[in-house]
Amino acid sequence: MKSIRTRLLLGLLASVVLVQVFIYLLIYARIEDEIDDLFDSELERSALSAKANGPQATTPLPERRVENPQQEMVVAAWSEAETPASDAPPPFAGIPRTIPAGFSKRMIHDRQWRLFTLADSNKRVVAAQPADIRNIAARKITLRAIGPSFAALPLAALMIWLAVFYGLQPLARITEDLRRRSHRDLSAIDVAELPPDLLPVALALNELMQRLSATISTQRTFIADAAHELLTPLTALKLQAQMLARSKSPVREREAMAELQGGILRTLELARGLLTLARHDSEADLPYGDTFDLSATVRNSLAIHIPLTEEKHLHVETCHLGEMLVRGNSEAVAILSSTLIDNAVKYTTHGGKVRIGIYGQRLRAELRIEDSGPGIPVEDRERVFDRFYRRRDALASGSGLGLAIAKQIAARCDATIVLGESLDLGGLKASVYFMPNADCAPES
Amino acid sequence: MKVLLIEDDRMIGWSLRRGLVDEGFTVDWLDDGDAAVVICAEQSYDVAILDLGLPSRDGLKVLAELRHQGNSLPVVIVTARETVPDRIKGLNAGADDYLCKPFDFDELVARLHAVMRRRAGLASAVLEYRDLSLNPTTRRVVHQGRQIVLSSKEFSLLEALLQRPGTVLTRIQLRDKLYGWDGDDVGSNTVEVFIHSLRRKIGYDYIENVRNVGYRIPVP
Repeated sequence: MKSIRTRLLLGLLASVVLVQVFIYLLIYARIEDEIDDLFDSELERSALSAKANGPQATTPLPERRVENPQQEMVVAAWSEAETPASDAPPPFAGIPRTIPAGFSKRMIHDRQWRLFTLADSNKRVVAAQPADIRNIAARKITLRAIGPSFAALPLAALMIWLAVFYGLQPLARITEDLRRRSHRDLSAIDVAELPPDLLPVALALNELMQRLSATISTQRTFIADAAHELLTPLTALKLQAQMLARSKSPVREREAMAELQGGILRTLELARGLLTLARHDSEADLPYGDTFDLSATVRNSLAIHIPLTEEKHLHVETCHLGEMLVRGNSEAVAILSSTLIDNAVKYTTHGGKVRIGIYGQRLRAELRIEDSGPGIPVEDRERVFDRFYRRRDALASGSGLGLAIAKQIAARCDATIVLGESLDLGGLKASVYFMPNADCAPES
Repeated sequence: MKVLLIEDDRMIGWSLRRGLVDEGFTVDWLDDGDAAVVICAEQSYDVAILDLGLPSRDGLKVLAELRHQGNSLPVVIVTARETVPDRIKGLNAGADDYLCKPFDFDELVARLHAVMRRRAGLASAVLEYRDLSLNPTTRRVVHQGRQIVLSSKEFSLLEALLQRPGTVLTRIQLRDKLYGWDGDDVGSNTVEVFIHSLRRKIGYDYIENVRNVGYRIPVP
């Protein structure tokens, strides 16, 4: 794409040249008319004067007088009875004897001639002039008239260039301002001095910068938080390794080793959580519009936890796990349901109960996971979704990210998670409501 | 020496307690700031290790509350908040030392000893009394130029008495210095048993009985 400057320069120059040419054509037509009138009257005058003073009818023809050598005007006279001789000079050799009186045009010997004929009873006087003389004269005069304005074209070009430069000055200023910024400077462009034409662009840019700086600051906070959160498990790892090194008996060594392994698992869990969070970040490009079977996803998540439920002798009850289509991203929802099931299984004590059910209808489903664990007190039910928030009685292996990830995934699927109390099991009830957008309402 | 460990991370707490016990400290471990304030009003400790990111009450508030109550317990802050302003805030709140996570365990132990030494007004780590010298860092006791071997409890008892010669320590105070709350079976005459075995090793003229009150090492 050409630059605005080039477009303006080319467009303006072309317009100026076109207008000049148009004016030339108009003037030329006008001058041609004038010259016709002028030369015609000259012809007439020559013929009249020749008739009055010129050769008599008896003069042997052709007697040719050149009235005006520059204008190639010639006059001849002959009597009614005579015919111009065949060896007469042009144009008279080819003129018919009975040429009509008045002005006429005639092609004689491949040249267009303008004739004026005076006729009376016994004599004819003809004044003639080649027609192209007139064109040449008209062209000459026109060029002389318009010539200076063509000579001024370079001046016009220079003025146009300056005007374009001046007009684009504010754009150049913004460009320079943006170019000179450091990559960290996301402050708004100063719109006070801007011409109204540039205002929409500048405002749109400012809005973009605002969004960008919000995103960047969120990410910066997140990275700072993550780095800070990593320090705790790493400190634990360091201490655990030191304790292992200091162990003086095999029993204590085994204990320290188990602790160290727990520490490593916890660190891994945190790293995995951070990765998942980054992958399902609102900026990430994942398809969230798929329609998939929620029950299959939930059954898969449950299957992963079966060994642990058996180990803890949990009674797992499933309700309505038949096919249920919802919209979202099945991989992400698998993480969501796995997190919720994982929490239920981990926090429910030996021999307790977990119930997993899907209720509702196609695309408007509720995934409900209940347990007989300790539950979460009302005042904490919002905070547990915060990144890195860990309740006092949270398990040591948790990363503090599980529910934050779940909430993020739910938001991207247009779903909401609500924590409550399970009435009949006594522990936590986690409900995920899948709410389709207006544009993906269930087909009948 | 008796340490109060206030740390909410179970893994860090476990390792610290184990390491400190191995180093001969008596350790009480709390994972909550509110409880720490209550305990400090009732029990006496030689030093506290305080984590700042605690549930229910921030470590700095715990420290401020302790100082407000006039408690001069030496406190070493152990935290992931590592910026200079954070350190300044911690020290200004009344901490005796500030250690950033992740730290080295041996450094923590060295700093604990240094803090307690400063509190006792001692330039050197070694406690000296007549021909007896006790080094809390190396846990060596030298009597009349000869190294003697003490059990961990005997060592703690002697250390407590040597820190402030002339001061009488009650049986209860001594017992508290030897045991945490989850301590092994504490008999009523345990302190007497250890005093007895200690006297057998270092001689009878160092530890003085103060009738019906407790024990002390007389001012030389």
